[in-house]
Amino acid sequence: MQAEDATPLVPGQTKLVKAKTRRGKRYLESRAPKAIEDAKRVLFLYGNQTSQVIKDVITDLYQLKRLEAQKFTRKNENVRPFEPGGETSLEFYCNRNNCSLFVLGSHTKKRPHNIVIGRMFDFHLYDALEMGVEELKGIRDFGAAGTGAQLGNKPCVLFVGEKFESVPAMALAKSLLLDIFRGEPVDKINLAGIDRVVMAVAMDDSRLQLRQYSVRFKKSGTRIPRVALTEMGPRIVFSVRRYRLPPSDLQQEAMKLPKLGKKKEKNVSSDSLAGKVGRIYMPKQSMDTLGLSKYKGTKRERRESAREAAEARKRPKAAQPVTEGPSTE
Amino acid sequence: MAEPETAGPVKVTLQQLGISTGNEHEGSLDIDLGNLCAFDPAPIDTARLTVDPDGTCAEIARGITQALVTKLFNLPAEPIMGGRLAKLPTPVTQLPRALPVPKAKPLTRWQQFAAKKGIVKRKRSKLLYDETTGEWRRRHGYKRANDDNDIPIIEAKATDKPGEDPFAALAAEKRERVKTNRAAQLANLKQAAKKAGPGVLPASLRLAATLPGEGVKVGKGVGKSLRRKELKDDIKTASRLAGISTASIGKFDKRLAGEKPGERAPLGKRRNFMSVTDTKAERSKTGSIAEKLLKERSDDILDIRKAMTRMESEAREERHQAKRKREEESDVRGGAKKARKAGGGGGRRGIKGGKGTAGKASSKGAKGFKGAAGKAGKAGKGRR
Repeated sequence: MQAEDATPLVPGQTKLVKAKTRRGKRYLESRAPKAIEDAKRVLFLYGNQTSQVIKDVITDLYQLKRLEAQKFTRKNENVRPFEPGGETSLEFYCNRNNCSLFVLGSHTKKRPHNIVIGRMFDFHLYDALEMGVEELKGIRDFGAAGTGAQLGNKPCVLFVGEKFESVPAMALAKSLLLDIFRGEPVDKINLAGIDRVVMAVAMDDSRLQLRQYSVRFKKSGTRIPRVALTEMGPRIVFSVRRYRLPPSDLQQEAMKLPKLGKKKEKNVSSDSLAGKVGRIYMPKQSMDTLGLSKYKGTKRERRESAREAAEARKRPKAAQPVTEGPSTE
Repeated sequence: MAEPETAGPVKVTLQQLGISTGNEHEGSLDIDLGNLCAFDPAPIDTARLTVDPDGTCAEIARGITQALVTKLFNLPAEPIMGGRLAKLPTPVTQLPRALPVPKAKPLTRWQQFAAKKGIVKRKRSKLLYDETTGEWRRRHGYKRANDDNDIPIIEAKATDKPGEDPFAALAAEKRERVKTNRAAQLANLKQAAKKAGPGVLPASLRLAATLPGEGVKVGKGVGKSLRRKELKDDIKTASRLAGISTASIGKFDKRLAGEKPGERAPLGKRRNFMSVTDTKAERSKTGSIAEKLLKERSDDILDIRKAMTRMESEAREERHQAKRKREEESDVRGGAKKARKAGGGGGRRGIKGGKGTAGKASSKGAKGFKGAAGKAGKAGKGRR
């Protein structure tokens, strides 16, 4: 370790600061930009005043995103995403908790039961959408159906209504809701794990309904099962209020596609003599339970020895006081 | 009537039983399998929604989900424990990233050189033959081959001097190599950061500025004495502050052995207030303030004393001249000595007079007459 710090430090120049522990190094590397990103984490927090409705909405949404979310319990009065200086606290919280999405709930006389869903790019405010909660039926109100789906599974996300394309606020809502609900980007999925559907219906220019269903697969006679849905989870009717679109330079940066290198195929190499060669790794086999091949010629012998072994096992159980086992002839 | 034939086993289709996949959603759907997302761009039936929202929504959801599930189950899949693993295509909807795209690192100095020369990296074998032990050992790590630290004997060469330690020399060489390697790494990182910005560095590394007191090793030379002085000053300041942090600001505390008288005294001058009852001092003080103000605000830039002295010296000279003249006239029949004396004096007087007038004129400038008047007046005042 002493040899590593052999370069003398000159005041006024640059030095290299490394992560002090391996754990710290791994943590920093996990937060570094990647070509294909992990699931976006959501930060749930409250504004200056809250109502019971808002608290229920926030808790329900948090329950849906449990592992990929962080919830703040206190009220924060200087978090105002729609005001020029009001996003600094929010950016700081998101940076510290490594969250790229936030859901802010508040309640004022002017904006009752208000929810702001927003995104960050490089932990700077990217865009945000403000909605008011008009109707709410929480997960608890659906009873047992609420436990239908398993946490951590990737849901199917459905958008119904042509307003999602035509109205800009609704288009933003579609993008944000997809970002929140889609979970981790994967390239393979276990088909048995599809058990949740989130549906958003654009009822008109400014109203949006969110419903969730748990999926059960039924027999259909074909390879493809029949889908049976039961409503679970929160049913919320939103009315869209303000929105904030991303600045064009940030948008350009954020929409850049990464250059994906070709994935190296492992355990495959090519030899000049043998051509394409692959390697297979076999698991360890236990020699005791190997299934050896049997030959027809020894069938009778095998049958008799098996019968004798079975009788030998039965007789000591029947004649217990006799220590000597019966002799087989 | 003919007897009914004995019926054989009845074939029932699944459709008759009602087992089917159900109605799929009619109409086109924008399906993004990579995100498990489906979008129905058709206009919705608001009338139906208002009448029976739950039922309509459930129906629509079921239809779209069925379409999505059909597509998913038609994807190429491999069976695993607990289901089938379907291979999803890449997502179609482009959503904004959370962090910027990672930048490509610029090449290091060696990499640039290698690219230019066409040097290709060759893969080294994991095992290496160790001559000293005569066995195959790993190239790096525990019990490595040809380890520098494990050389038992170094044979002396003809060029070796008697006092040198070859093992120490080897160790010093290694330290040098490590030092240059670290410096080169740092230089490469700084160059990369300069070219492409700080985002290009590995996540666990950061370039920071060294502080003024940093890195100065405690050892021989300037560094040690600087640090000692800093520490000594710190201790002295701390001791003084502690000493005056009593109710009487350290005034009645016993002086310790070895302590100099002013060491624990508070810094700074004490304010002194004038006595309230002493009117003479107050008068003189206010008088001096008034004088100062008047002096400052007055126009003339003369020194009054000098002017007075000059005037008086002029007057003296004139009187002296007059006296000499009288003496001359009375002693004209007298000696040449007296005449010479008078001439010398007169000459001198002449020069003096000239100088005096010239000086007077230059010192006054434009304000000549005014000043003279003022001077006369002031001089008069002073005399009075």
